[in-house]
Amino acid sequence: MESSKAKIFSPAIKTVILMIVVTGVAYPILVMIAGQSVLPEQSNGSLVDVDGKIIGSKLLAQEFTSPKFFHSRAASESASGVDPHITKDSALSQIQGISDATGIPINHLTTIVELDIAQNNAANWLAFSPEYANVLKLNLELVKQYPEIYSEFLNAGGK
Amino acid sequence: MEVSVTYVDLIQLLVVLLGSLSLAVIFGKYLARMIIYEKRPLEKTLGRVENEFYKLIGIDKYQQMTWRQYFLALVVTNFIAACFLFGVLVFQDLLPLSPKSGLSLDLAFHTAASFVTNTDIQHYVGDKQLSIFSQMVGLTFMMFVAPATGISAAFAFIRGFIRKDFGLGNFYVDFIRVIITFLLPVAFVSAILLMVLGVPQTLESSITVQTLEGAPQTITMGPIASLESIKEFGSNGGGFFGSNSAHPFENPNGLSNIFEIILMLSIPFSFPIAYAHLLGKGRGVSILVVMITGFGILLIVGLLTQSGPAGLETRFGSFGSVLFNISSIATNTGAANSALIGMSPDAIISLLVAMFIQAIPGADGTGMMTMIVYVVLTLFIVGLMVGKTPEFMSMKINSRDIKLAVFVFLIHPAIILIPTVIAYTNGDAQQLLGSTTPMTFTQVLYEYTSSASNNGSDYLGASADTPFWNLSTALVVIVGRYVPLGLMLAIAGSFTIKDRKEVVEPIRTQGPVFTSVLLIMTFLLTVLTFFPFLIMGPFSI
Amino acid sequence: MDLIQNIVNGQILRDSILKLNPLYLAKNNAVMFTVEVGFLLVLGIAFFPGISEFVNQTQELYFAIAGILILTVWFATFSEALSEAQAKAKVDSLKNLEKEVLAKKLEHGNEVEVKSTSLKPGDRVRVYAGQIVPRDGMVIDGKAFVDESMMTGESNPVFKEKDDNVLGGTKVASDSLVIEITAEAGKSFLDQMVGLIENATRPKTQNEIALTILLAGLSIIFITVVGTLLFFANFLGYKVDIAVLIALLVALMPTTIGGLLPAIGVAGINRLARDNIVVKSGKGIESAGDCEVLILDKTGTITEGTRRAIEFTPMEKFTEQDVGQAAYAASINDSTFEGKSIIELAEDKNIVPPLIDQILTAKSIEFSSETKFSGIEFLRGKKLPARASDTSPRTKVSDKLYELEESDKEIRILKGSVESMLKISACTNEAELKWKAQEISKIGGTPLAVSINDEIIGLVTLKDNLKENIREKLNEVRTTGITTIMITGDNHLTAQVIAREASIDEVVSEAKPTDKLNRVILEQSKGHVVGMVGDGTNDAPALAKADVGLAMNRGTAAARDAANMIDLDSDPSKILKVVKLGKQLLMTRGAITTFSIANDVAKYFTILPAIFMKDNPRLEVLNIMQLHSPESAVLSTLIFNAAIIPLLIPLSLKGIKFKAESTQKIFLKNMLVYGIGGTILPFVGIKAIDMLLSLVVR
Repeated sequence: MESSKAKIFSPAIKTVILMIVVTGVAYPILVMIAGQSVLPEQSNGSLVDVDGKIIGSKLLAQEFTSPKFFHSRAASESASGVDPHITKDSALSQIQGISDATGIPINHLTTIVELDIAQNNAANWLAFSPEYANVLKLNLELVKQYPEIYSEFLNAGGK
Repeated sequence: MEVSVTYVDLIQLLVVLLGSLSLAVIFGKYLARMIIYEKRPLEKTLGRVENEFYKLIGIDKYQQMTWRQYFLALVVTNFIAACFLFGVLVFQDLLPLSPKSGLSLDLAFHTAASFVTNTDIQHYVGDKQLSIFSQMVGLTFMMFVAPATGISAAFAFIRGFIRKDFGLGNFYVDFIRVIITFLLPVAFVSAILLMVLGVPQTLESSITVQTLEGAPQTITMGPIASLESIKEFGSNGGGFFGSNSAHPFENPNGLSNIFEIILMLSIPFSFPIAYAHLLGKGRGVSILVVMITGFGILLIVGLLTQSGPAGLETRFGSFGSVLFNISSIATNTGAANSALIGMSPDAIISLLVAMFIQAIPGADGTGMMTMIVYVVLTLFIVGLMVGKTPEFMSMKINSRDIKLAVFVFLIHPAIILIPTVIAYTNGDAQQLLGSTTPMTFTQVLYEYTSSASNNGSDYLGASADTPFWNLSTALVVIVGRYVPLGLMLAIAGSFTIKDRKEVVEPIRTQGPVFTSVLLIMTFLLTVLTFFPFLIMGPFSI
Repeated sequence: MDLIQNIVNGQILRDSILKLNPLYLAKNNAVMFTVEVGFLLVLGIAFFPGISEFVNQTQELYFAIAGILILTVWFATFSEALSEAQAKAKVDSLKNLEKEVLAKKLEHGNEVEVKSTSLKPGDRVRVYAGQIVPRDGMVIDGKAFVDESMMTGESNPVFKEKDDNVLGGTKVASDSLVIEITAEAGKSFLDQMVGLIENATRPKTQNEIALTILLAGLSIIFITVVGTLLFFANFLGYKVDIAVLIALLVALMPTTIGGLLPAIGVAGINRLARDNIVVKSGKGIESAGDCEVLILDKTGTITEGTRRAIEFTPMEKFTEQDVGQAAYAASINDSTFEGKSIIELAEDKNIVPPLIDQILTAKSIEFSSETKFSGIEFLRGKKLPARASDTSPRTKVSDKLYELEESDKEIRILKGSVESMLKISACTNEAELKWKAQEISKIGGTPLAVSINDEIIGLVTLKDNLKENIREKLNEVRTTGITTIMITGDNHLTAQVIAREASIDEVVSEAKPTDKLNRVILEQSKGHVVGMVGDGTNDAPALAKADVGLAMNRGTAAARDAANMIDLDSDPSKILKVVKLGKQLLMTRGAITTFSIANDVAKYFTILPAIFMKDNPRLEVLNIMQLHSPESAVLSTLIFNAAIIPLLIPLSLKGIKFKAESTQKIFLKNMLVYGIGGTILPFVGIKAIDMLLSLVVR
């Protein structure tokens, strides 16, 4: 009785232990080594730094409250709660307000939006996603192009 | 609401089909060789590696198992793996790599049962409640065990039909070979590709940054790419994050979305191709056609009305979300790139039907097995009409086979409907979801359907982390996994000792006539069973 | 008309009502048992409407539903009772003949009068002309004609001698026979068949068991569905009614096939009985449909078994006339069909032998299995002065005979197989003979050599006739995918020719008695289902081994014991009919099953709107049938569900039409008729019933 039980359990236990080592430890570590050495940016979460300070990940939405910025979707409207993207319509509809708040000409803002959408389209090989704009990238572009208007945030971020 | 499918959407669909089918052609041939122990590419090296494993485990690779022995080995191995995961989850506070407090016993039990059965329903929020160790050593490991179990079982099952006394194989041999020489290499390459597309892979659990506006933001990370690739490839579906494939770190853009869909479909589609290699090209292709056509029907139903935009991710849009979710649920992966709440009622009907059927194309391995059960049932129901005892592969279908097949078919509605009734009569459903409406009824029905079909998608998520929901769904996933597996292996065991004949089958199990009949019967048998519930549930939302 | 008469028939009515017993149904028909339980529940509700919150319809409706439900069950039991009665009628007419008679039992050489029921196997009885054979047995002594018309319908009395079988109930027409009883009282194959007819005692066949399991499985699924539906509908605020849910359950369950399944099984036995085939096991009929290989005897099955002379072939030195004269002379005492046909052929050709008087009075040489020839022998010294009266034209043969007679030499005129004649005929061109014999074989004939003393004159071609339509019948069998194998003692060439003419797939020629069994075993080892016919004791092992064994009634007791079917007419080609019937049986089951399941689609669209629409107007879209009212929707669905059973009774009893086609074609055709038809018909039928109901009900 004992030996037949051992016969059933022994190979099963050994198999499980071996697979834990191979698939639970070796595999993720190897993927990590490969990622960290070849694709450090992506492996670490596509972080964005402004003047050497990390201010977020370009893949994750962050909350914008100032009327000078493009705003992300409300957290609960998307599935992830951190959808970093808005539709073209949504981006364009926000332009008037930002222009009013900042004085940046509408056509400049439109260009920024369209440029980002075009970049995203290219990154998705034109066919694999609808048109969208990345809110963080739009706002970073604004900060980059109009540092004087957004100086308060540069300081805040760099605190 | 106006539904529009654009040319761009059709290109996505085309790429998904071409991509998954090309992978399936390659994998199918490879799986066929593994099933009959033929030479694979790099056989010498692979063989040597495998032999080392067999030696370490102490098994004789030539020892064949009966269906009972095979099933026993499968259950025992799964049981031990589940015990390990259970321990990891309960004691994760004592374990390294960003320890978090251990899960409650019922939640740990549910999670272990859910992951070992290839279900991956999550009643927890991974990014908040699990340590890196649990995600990596616990869950990633289990995401290899579960599909390898299903694939091995399908190997044994198919061997039962190949020729008399071929034997069903040895579970440990199949299990190890599937992981080491198939799942692992593909998962590794896929993980690298996912990293290229933006999925992180680090042992760092989280960093806190200050946003552009100066607010603090905690960014949770971890070994996501290695989990994500086997999550999709192994029809697992349990996400690193609570929001699953909707989270930008799991599925950053349109390209990763398409790639993940292709990964999910590739193994389920490769089984009919392996079947074609082993049991006749026509037969395999016919089953593939049934799977693809059925999948197409689900997609059309799912797209009847527009989903979203609430609950959807902007980067996927309506089409990318519906395509991902239907692919995921039809393969019983259960991952979701959008909230189910954002799906249109028609899409939900489509998802439920996919889970009722479980075989278009179904999960890794078990989808094919279930489809063969449909073939046997269909042959029996309509086969008598030609005036002969129905045969499959020129083997007579006897009353024992029908008994087993009917059980497989019977158990599914029973473990969906009865627990749903219990959840309502006990008051647990009302307590969780408030008043009973078509919407809340759909959510409860969906929870048990997803459990019974080992799918993993659900509405309830962490809100269902109560003893009642954890225990009841855990029982359903266990019964939903092992009872049909055992019954189907018994069918294979019954067929493997049957006489093969030299004459042609009375009804050829291939060609357009059979393909259409099989497709109709597959939908008819399941829809007849569940039609009233679809009417009361999603149809009435 | 027939049907109405049957309903009036008290026995069937009584049987069908007795079968309503829930205990009987629980054991034999799970589907109908469930319907009956449903009936009792609805009936209870009808009497006590205040019993539950789930009861909210009018009392009339409950009574109507209950009535239709019990009618559904009764239709099913009626179909069963009807088919049983039909089969019983045939068996009873056969059994009546076996009724008790007085028999003259032989005890120590004396005849003692005893009742036939007291006879045991091994007892010997003497039966005189005009008396009834008391029970099945074998002739031990005596020769007599026996009238079997009451059993087989064969009007000519059959000649019986030692070792022949006789059936209880047949009448000895001349002389007397001593018979050894072989069957036990009540154990004759007729009794076995009676057992097969009664559902309660009938062992179910594999397919029937599998189908029963499938139907039970579907029923359990629908019970689960409807049972849980009650809860969900209640939780979701629908006003559900238990009786309506029971109606939905009954409508969804495969009541059509469930109700007709027993009748179909009995009908198969019944139809065989009508063709005078007695069935000993249900498995035999089912296997008949599955037959993949049929092993057939040439003689009697494919050919008439009566060889007839069709040609005289002379050796080089002789003419046709010569051969004809010699063959005539050699056959003068031959009373077999073959012998008579030789004389007929000669007379047709105006050939008459010389020395006719001597020939007529010559001593006959009887055929024996050792010599394999027969003929006549002139006795020496018994000369007759008949020469002048001989009018036959002069031929080489007459010259030879006269010459021999003159010289007072012994004259033997013989005919026999080529091999046997070669042995006794020294001065013959052997090569020529063999070549000519082979030519005859090539056209499928059997050569007989004719000789005078040691010289062979020529050959007679004997040819067997193919049975009428056998080619068409065998072609039909082939179309359905069956391989036919002919077994014959004939030489290879002859066998090949006949096989080609009759359209047989494969031939085993020059077969030994054991070859049949070997072939059965060989085919079964390839997984084939084998059918065969046999009559001799030699055939018994093969008959027992074969999946379908059809024994000839005329055959030996051993063969009849071994087989699972017996043909009272002793017509071996009936095996083809058996195969066809077996297929029809399976097809009928399959077609009604498919029909039954296809029916369900429509039923959802009638009853579900009736249940839900009042409380959820959104479900209006489901109401594609636009039925008069929820009540009429439920009733018309149930009426359709019940009515379809008696409407399909004739189909179940007759079996669905069988046309020899490839299985693939049959599949497509039946799928269209019973699958697609089964989906559409209830839509039309229920709508029609609803329109009629709307005239009656408010």
